[in-house]
Amino acid sequence: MTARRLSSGGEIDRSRPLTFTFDGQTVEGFEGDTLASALLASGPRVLGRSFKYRRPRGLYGAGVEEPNISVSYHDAAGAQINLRPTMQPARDGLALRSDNTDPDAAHDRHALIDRFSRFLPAGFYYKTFMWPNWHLFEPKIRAMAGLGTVDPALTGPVAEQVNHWCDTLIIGAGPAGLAAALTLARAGEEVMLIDDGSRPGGSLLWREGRIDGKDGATWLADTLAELNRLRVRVMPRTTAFGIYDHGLVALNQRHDDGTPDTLWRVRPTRTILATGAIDRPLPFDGNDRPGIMSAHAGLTYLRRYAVLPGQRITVACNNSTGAEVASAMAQAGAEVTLVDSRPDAAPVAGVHNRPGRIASAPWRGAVSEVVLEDGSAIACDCVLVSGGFTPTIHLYAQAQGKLGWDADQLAFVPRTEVTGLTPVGAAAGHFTLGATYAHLGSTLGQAPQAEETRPYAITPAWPDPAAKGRIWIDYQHDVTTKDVTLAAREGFTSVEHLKRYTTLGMATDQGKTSNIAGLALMGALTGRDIPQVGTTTYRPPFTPVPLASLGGLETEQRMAPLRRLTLEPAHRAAGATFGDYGGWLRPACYGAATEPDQPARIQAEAAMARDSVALFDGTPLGKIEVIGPDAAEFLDFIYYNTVSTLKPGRCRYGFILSEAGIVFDDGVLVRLDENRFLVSCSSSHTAGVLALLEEWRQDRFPRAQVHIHNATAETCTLTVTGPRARDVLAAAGVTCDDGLSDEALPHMAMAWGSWQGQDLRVTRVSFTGDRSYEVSIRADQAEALWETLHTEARRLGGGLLGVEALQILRAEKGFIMIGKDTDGLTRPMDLGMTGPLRRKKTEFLGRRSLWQEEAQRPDRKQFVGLEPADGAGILPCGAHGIYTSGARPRSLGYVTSSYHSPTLGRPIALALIERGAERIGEVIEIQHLGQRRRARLTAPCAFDPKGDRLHA
Amino acid sequence: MRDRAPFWTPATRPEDILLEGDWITLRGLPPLPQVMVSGDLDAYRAAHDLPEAVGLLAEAEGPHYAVRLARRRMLVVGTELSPRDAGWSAGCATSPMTGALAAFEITGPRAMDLVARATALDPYRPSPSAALLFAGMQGVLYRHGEALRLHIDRGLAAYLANWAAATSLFPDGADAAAPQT
Repeated sequence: MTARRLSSGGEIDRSRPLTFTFDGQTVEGFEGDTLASALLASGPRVLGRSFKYRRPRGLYGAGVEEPNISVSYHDAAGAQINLRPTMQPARDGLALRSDNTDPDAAHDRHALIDRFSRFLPAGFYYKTFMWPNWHLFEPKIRAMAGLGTVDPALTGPVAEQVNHWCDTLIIGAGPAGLAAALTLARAGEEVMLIDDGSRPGGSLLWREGRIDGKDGATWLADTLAELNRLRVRVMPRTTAFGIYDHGLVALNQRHDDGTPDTLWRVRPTRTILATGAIDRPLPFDGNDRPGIMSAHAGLTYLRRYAVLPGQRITVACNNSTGAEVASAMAQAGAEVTLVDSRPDAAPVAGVHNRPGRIASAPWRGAVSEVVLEDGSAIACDCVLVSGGFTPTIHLYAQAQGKLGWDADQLAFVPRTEVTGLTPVGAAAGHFTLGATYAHLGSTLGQAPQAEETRPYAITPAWPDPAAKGRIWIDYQHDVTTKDVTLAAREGFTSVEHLKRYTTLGMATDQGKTSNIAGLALMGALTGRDIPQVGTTTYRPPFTPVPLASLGGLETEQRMAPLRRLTLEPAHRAAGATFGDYGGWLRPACYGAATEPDQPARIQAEAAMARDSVALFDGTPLGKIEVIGPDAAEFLDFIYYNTVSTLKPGRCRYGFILSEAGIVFDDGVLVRLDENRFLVSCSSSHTAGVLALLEEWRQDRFPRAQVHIHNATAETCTLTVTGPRARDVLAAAGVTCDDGLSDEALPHMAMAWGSWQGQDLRVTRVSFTGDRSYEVSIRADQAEALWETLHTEARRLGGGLLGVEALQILRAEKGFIMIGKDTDGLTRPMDLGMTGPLRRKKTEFLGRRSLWQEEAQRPDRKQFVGLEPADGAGILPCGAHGIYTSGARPRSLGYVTSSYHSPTLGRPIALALIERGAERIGEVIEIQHLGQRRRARLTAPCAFDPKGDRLHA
Repeated sequence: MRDRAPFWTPATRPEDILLEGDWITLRGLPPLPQVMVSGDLDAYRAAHDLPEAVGLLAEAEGPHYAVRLARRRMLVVGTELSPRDAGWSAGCATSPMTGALAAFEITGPRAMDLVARATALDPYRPSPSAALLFAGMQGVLYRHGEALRLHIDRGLAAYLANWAAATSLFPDGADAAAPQT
């Protein structure tokens, strides 16, 4: 191995050396190196292991096409895994680790597998590990396969996502993309120019060329300067990995400083695809060995990073571009032999010229020679191969562009027009500057002039089905010519079947270097030409995208944000324990920071509310205003109950059903005035109810005068409940227009009021069974009222009430919670509300479904209460009532809510039980986790069934 | 049960939120008087001497203006409305929204960079409606003077602060988004 760094040339900054380690070995490089160039210059050629056979592998490419080497490291930003070293800048102090090697790339202990390769053909897993059970083998196989290791404990900084609009997005800042950007920016367009390399320039950074009378480097510098003046956004290290509906292009931007990648969603009017082309390998025995790399990768390492990849270099090619590579290597000091398979290839000065093809590259711990088809050998320590160019047309194909085979260029090229997408340059099959600019001029109306030195010429060099030895088609997934031959023999001749049977093109490189050779071989095996074989479907992403980039900011608190109470600071100050309830962060209970104390504290809060008074933050309760002359008619249709008969200032409890007749939500409807209603819905159902209301308004009442406003957030709703509730309001200075007397404000009524000059809406409804007042005040004014009410409640022996204690109080009364005490099959009759179905004269939502046979079945699960009949404690929530007289136990329904009632001094429960309403008093068996209990069916309301306490 | 309070950054009053970055500031405003109006918008504007309702990124002027939310809905800013007086009147439904919608101003040369992270809107072809999804929240966005004004649900103000602080626009955002104790 004799790759070495030259003393001059390249883009590296020799005044800024750096070091990092690779598999524990120190690697030296310079600022401006990629990880790959530094590794190549430092010596080791074995940098990884192949996926299946664990063969030693070295660098093949210099860009996104690199199929062989994958590395990982950890830094301050977290775990960086499965990285192509060709795309990552070298950084001082990194500790690189080769992926999927054990213990390291050079000494992998699984290398023995390669000796058994003849027993491991394509489809081996499918055929061999079926018996007795694939899952017996799967863990071990998965452990051996894969790439870098994810550490689930590691979290890193979040990635950003940015949206951008522009006139033209140009993907690829090579000679074609730069010229296009210049033309369009001069015409006044807003242009975004991106490139996946570390700097713009594309092939101008390593290939020769003269443009507009200037050498390539000078033209590049001048062009970049003008683009800067024209305010073109130029983004290097950015890969366009997918194109989606309406021309949306997704970009992944990498950052030099370790910042997580940024995802860009760009919506251009037009996209220009100047993505270049990828150099294909040549097929010969042992063509995957370390030391054999793409000719243009070799040229890239030489000219950009001043790394000469060998001292005795064989350049093998089937096209005219090999000559430049051979000359450059020779000029850099290597002894070079050019093996050109073109029959009419002109000899190149300064190198040994050998017509023909390579047959094999014997391996003796390193590449030391190549053997040509005529049997002659060439001593060498590095082989640079060029099998012709494959245009990078992935995005064009993703956008449903149709490819056609160019028999002169031996490549698939774009054939049909895709609206808003224009391939140019090598991506369009123009592999010289002259051809590129001629096409660009005809496309955009203007282009630079290039001096053509060598026209592109190529001769076929496809894999020979009869060739001996192990010839690699897909480096990354270890697919050889024998695997493709086997696939053809077994009938997997469709290109899609070939891909899935052999995994050709399925690796992280998605077959960038391998697909065309695979198609050619399958064609040769089946008597078809390459276009007849066709290509597989191109899908995003073009290159792997970090999950952090796809996730963006939606992590931690931002993944599923909760709404926050205006009074949260007050609750925190009161020592609340918080929980997530229906999309809100709410106090579960107060003063119970340690878990063992919580049940007792919750019981105490419930008892306090029954004994004296409690203050509850009911702000999340949905408050949707329905306004207009047709509001009553509209709500008559929406509600199961009749609501149009409700008088202004009065409230009515009711159900909203779905079209299937299932109870969608329940709540209290308030008629604020003749044309204005307030739909009070469950906290977690507000968005759903709002959508339902709006849907039916637009569908059934399109021209009616009714409008819907979500006013949930406008007010904080402070609920005062308990026998002393009215006393607290009075003491706090809350007034209503007609006073707080029961005559002025009876149960299920509403009144306007005020507190210290601020408007209030006071509604007398109860979710606890006790006298209760819901006081709604503008949200930004609520804090002072809350503090005053809290002070007065404490003075009367009361205090704060959390959600958990409220659950006990409502369960004592048999009040349902939708979604907890009901499920996706519960109809209003199952909850004991049958009257409206029989008596309501107008149409309502869900009505027809309620008359269906299923809804009218007598054995439906009905809402009941339960009390333990075995003297034991509370019944487990979710436990099933069972019917045991059959051969096997059968479920009768299940426990929906279960608590210890501090008021009654015994357990209470609510349940949905088959025929429950007619079986009150009956004892049934309850089963939970294999344990049996006995419970008696009761009426749902266990406390104050006559409702006397509402008026106490 | 597990106390979820430590997981969530304590919420603050929207008007106390202040994030400052390089060339950008996000600041909560004191409660702005707001009224949601649906129905005959032209009649309402005429009756209340309001200019044409502005759309997304359009510029509103002065203390009293209207922002278009939908074909027959707008948000009137700078007008007080008692909840007693809201409801149906002269072909319009009105509801006070002063407490419901927290208002923020985004200022500085990089203000639109925050918008680009929060929305997919086309700044060159903005909608006649100022309603949009901003960082996943329903919001209202328009220009007012030198600033962008954003109205969001009051209960999501803490999320907005946390979200904005997580962007690279506010390098010290994580600290700034936390309440000052």
